[in-house]
Amino acid sequence: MSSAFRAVLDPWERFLRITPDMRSDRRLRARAFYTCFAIYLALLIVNVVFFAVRVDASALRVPVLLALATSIIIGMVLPRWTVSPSIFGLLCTFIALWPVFSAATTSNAAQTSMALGGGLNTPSLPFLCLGAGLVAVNGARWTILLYLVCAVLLLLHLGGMTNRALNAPEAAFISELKVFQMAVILLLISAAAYALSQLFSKSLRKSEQMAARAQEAEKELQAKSASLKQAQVELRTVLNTVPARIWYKDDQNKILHLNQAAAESMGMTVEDVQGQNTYDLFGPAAKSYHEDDLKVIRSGKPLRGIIEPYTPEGGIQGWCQTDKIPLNDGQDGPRILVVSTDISTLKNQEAILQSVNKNLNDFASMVSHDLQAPLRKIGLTTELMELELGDELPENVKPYLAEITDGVQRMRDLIRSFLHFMRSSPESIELRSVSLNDALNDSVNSLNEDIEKSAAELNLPSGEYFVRGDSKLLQQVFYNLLENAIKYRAPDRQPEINIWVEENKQYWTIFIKDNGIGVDPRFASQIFDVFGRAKPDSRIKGSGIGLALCRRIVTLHGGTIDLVPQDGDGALFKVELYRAKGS
Amino acid sequence: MNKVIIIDDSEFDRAMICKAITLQSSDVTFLELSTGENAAEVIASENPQLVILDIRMPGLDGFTVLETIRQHPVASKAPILMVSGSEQPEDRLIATQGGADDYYVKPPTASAYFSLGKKLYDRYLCSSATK
Repeated sequence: MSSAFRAVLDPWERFLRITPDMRSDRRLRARAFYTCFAIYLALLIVNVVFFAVRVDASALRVPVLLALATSIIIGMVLPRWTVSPSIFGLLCTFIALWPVFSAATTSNAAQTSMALGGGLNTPSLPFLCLGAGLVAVNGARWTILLYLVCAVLLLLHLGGMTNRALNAPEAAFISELKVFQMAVILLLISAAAYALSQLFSKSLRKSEQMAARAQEAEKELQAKSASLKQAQVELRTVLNTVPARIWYKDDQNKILHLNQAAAESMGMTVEDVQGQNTYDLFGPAAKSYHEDDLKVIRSGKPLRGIIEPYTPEGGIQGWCQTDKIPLNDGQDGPRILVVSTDISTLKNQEAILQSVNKNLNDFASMVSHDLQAPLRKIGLTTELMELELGDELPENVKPYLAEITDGVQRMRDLIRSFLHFMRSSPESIELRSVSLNDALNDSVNSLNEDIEKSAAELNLPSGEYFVRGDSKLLQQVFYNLLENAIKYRAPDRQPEINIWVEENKQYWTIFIKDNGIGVDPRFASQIFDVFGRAKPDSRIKGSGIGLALCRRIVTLHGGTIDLVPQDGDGALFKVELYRAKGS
Repeated sequence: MNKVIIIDDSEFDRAMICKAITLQSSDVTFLELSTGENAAEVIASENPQLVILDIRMPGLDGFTVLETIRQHPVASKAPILMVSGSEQPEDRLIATQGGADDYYVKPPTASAYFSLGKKLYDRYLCSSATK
């Protein structure tokens, strides 16, 4: 519908108190139509009866058929009609009343009767009825008033006509007009009756609306109640399905509510446990549970990740990890929500792991001992052989003995590195303030012979630095790095090793740069792995554990060790270690 | 005459320590035991100037033997040096807490063995030889 049309329609509907829901109420419109059609039929019957008696029946055939056709068309169209019935009703009324107005405003009796006759015998009659019904049903009081005014005018006019002498044609029509008078009265009565019925139906509609609203509210309440029940069922299902043990307790260590898992863990039912005191269910361990509860209640802050033994007297004992959350839900007294997970399996696995770890360490020690004993024997025997034979030792045998001694030494280094690697664990180190300079100097002293042999130039940092660490292990790290720098020197130049320290907020970053053969980029990612060599070169001695051990030790210190990619010659290692407090 | 009792399951190690000490002086007799069984009684009867006791041995290990010796009314006074084939940080602690006078890791080279022999001779045997 165009906005221009609506702009005209809306104020009119507001005047008629037509609401959008009334406009769209098809039942209402249908009822209006059937009502009007009934009135119309009643009037038509009256008309036909009277006119059939007094007038030639054949003269009525066309108007009656037209009226019927119009009614049927309106009856078909109206229920689907979206335009306001009031507007249509007013239009119909106007069409229908126009002849009445004409009749009422002329003094010529012939014209009056013609007009009135036309009003009665043409299709305008159904329109009149329809309009009356519609406006009555829709409660358009002003339109009803208009009807009444017209009727009164007509009656007055007719009354005036009957009070004077009439000519013959006038008298003839007057007698017909009496019929019309009756019809109009009937129409008015009908309209008034429907107006009254409409008044009742309005209050009825109101009460119907209220009842409907109440029904809707009840439905809504039922739906909400059902959804609440559903939520409760879901919550209960979730509570009883989760593996965690959940319960609410008060500050007296009394269990208020709990889930099935919690009850089952105590070897009881939910109903049996509810209301019981933890002291009665958990024996002496309940005291520590209660202390934690009170801590949470007093602080108002949750306590998470409590790992403790779980000791129900009637259930399965083990280990649990518990979260305790304070509840401030306006209920009487302080309460606490306890969520506990069974970690017995985890604890058992941890114990197994510890035992396996210990066995592994014992095994490593045993293997190293059993490997070292024969190795020592080979080394010593070879050495003794050299000593005993002295000059008698054939020249061609000497290289063989040298190979044996060399092999023994390499094997010995390998076993030592392997042992160091196996033994470095979080438990094995004790972190304290350590002088980085001392660790470096000790490493350099241990490597003095190699440094002298290779004529390496070493530049150590000038400042004084302290890190948090284990001095022996850190010494091992720097020893390995410096040893590598010398070991992997370039054959064509004098080795030069620069060590410098850069300051960070929490760390000291130590750089160790050499001018050696560097690390082949293809192996860069493997050098910190056990037996990962920078350059798989059998001529260079090495256990293949050195850098792996360095990373392990540095990681145990909470630091990092990395190879910094280099464009030029040599390798650059970066070690980050936590600064000692106050350094 | 100095007397040294060596308790070690390895014949080679026993021979090496004998050789290392003998290089210092020929005035030392050695009593070699391959197990720690009856060690306390032997020590009590022989009254050695030094007992060299290996830690890892089949049957009774060195720590148990040490405990037995230290509990023996007569043998308990003998100076005991514990030796081990491989360096285990905890071994030194257990040995000294158990009452050992000293602890050494078996030397990997002949020269180291000889210097150990000298050290032991100087500390435990030299003085009693001059007495």
